[in-house]
Amino acid sequence: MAALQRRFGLNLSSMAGREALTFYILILPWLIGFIVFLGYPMLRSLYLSFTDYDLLSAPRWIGFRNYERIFRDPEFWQSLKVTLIFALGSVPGGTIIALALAMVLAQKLKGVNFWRTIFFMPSILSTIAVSILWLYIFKPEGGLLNIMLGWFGIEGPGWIASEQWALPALIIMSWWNIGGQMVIYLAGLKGIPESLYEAAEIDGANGWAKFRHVTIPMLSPTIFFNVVLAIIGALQIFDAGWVMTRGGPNNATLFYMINLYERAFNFVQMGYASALAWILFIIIMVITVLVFRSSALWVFYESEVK
Amino acid sequence: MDTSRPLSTPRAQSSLKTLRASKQWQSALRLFLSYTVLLFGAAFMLFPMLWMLSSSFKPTWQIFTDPPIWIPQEWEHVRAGNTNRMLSLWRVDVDGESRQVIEIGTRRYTTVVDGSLLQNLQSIPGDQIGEAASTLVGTTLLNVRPLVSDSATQVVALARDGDNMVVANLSDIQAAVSRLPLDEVNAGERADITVEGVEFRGREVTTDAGIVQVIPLGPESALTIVGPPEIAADAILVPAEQLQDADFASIGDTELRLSHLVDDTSATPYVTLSLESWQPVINEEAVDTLAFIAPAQLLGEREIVPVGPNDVAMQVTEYTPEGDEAPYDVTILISGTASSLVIPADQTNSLRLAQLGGLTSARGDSFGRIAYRVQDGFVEGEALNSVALVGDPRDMALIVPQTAVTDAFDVSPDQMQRSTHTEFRLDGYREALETKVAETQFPTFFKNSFLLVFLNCLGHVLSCVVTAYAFARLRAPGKGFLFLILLSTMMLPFPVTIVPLYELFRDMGLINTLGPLFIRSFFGNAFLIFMLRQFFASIPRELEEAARIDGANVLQILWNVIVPLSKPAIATVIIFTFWWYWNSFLEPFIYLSSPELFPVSVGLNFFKDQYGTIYFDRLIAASVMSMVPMIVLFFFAQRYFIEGIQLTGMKG
Repeated sequence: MAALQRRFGLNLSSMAGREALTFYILILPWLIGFIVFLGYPMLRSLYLSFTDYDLLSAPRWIGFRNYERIFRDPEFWQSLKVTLIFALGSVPGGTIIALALAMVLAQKLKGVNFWRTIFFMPSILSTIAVSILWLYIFKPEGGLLNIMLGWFGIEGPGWIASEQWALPALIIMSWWNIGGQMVIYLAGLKGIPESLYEAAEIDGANGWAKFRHVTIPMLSPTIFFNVVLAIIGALQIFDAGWVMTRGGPNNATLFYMINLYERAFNFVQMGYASALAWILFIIIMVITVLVFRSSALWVFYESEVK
Repeated sequence: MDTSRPLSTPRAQSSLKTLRASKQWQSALRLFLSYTVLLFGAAFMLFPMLWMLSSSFKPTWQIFTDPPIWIPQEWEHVRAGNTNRMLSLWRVDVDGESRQVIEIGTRRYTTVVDGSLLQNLQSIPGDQIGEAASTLVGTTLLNVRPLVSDSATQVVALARDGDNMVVANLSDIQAAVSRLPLDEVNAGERADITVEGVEFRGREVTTDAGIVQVIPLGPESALTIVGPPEIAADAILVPAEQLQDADFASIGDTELRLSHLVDDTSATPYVTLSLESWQPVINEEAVDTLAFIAPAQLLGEREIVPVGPNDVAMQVTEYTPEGDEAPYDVTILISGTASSLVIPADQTNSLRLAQLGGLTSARGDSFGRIAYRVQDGFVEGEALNSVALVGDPRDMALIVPQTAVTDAFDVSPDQMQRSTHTEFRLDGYREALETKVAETQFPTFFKNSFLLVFLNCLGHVLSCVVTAYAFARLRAPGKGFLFLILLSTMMLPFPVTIVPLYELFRDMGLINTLGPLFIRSFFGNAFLIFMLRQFFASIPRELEEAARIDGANVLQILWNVIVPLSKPAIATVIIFTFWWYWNSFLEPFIYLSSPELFPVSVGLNFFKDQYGTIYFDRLIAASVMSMVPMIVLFFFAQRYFIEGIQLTGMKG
């Protein structure tokens, strides 16, 4: 205790000292949890990624061999490709749909709460149940989607049974989940001061110009933050892919996490799986940093004007 | 610019009008576009859910129909006499009036051409002839094809001739074609018919006009005789071999085959409603309580006799018990080489016949070493019975006396539609709850999910409130840095910890327990701590001062001042926890292997893998049930969901 006092220059008998002690006691559960369930596992998995480990015998240090094997493994590249394509389809598509719905709802229409409930509801439902629902909607024979396409004379594809259409099907399904984003954009839109639009109107701005020069800049921090979260989420997709296609057909929907899960828990290659996890971690960090860097180009922070 | 110019000049007024008109037009357009977007969005979001809800009340056959059946329907049936056979009811339009009928008989027909009347045959390259279309010529269906070169000329293809087709002009063949019953054509002697040097394989058929040599052309068609449902009441069940073909009764454009019973001296004509395999069944309860296994050497000669009040033909033999007991007759339920499953012959009251088609989902069961099958939920009238399949199936005919067949008429089968009524069927739900998934049932999954949700809520509330308060109110060195760490863990992808956490919980002996799925909640959650901190920070400090002056410690202040003021925020913590843990899949999937521990999400996936391609209705009903708690929570607490999401999504 005395050492602690010297180290932090604290006097525990003083008010400030007692307050600091209370602080550390109160956050102790979180701090322990952080160290035991997050900090330690992260370092441990970094270590394991350089080992050959089957959970039974002790990890055997093999240097970069896991990483070498991963980069030579076509399944890794396939899973990376599939996951990136999924993110590229699901994030911009979902953002546009969420933004469009939010903008419409922001116009003081009647029954905003009613519409908001409808748009938000799908996103609270369990992915498993929702996947089962869409599994049946995408059913090639007798599925609702292909029957409805048939009304317009379109012969629907095999969707989840088809190598070409399984991934688009999962992307379409992901757009069902944009309720949370929409709610956030709606709140963001309502937060834009009316005076800015009035000023723009006086300057002769029409609807598009107002959207381009007022709405987008004012909303860009919110969009930015949610796009980052959506990308992180999309790169970690597992549930829907597992339930609907389990990576198939012919690895057409082999998401990164499905590959990782199978390596870890079906093949019990824990070292290999840890290396996969670290690669994903680095990819996510790089993408996040890139988006953050690029944000200077398109995100408008109010404080800049001041 | 002259700003003082009044706007009341005629020109200005008119331009103002156009401006106003264009403004009005613009806002109307915008409103229209807005509602279009909303309706499309709502259709995309709501439609699948409504379809799912409706499908959960449908029988399996109705889920994937084209066109879709939006409102659940149920097929209608009528009971055949006092048997347990349900006959399908159909609807047929007669003179614009929809009538409910049962099928009494169907006769199949094919189109033939009289060889002796065939003339002017031509051989034409196959690619010179267009697509065939079934066309009604008089009362006869014919596959008619146009010529590619001259679509006005229609021909009928009769035979192949290498790449060529032997055809006749429709006008030449018209008089030679007729419709004959398929059974009569097939029963006719084979005959080779040569017309203009072309050899055809034909049949010799006896018709009203005498014996003719005909060439079957097709297409086949059928005429079904239907009649009022009341006819079914007179139906009786007889062994098929007792039927003897008699003559035909003419009905409309077709005939109804009549039969006599072999030993019936009055020669009453009967109409056969169905000819099917029927299986002797006995109540499963009777097997469980009255049947026993008899070794072969204790059984006498076997004899097939009618047994029980329903006169079911079964093997009966004499059983000599070991010891002093007198021998008695037993009915053999399941026959084996070394021993048989038998029941005393006077205990066979529940022995009856059941049509095999109603027993398709029978499960295997065993009595000692003798295996047999049991059909659960076998429908008999209003009752659902568990019956054991015993003895051997036999062909039985369901017949009615011809005198009972009144008001019968003939229709083409494609004009008949199953008679249905709207019915929200709860069987999918009931069966989903009762179906065993590896010895576990859905209620167990629900119980597990609720338990997990409760434990996680408890953990989160306890740990997050305390931590968030510390971050919101207390000053300490290093706090800023720790808060930064807290925030950054919100963005941290969790896959990187999957393997070590699994290892950690294994070392703690917690694999395949609920432990790994709730313990961490007692150590806080960055997102919820952040949200609570924001909320606590907005509570005026003065409120705490009074308590502090009274000498309350931190926990007392938390409990007496902060918590009562933070009910909405704590509600949000509970709601988010509920949301996450009710829906979480990957972690329980990784940590649990015993189905009796599965939460709903994993149980549902397990159910899908086992039965997803058979029991669509049950799986959809189970999915709907798994959503109900979330939907209920959402409707009661929508505000908290939305505020919680806004709070964390608005950073930037």
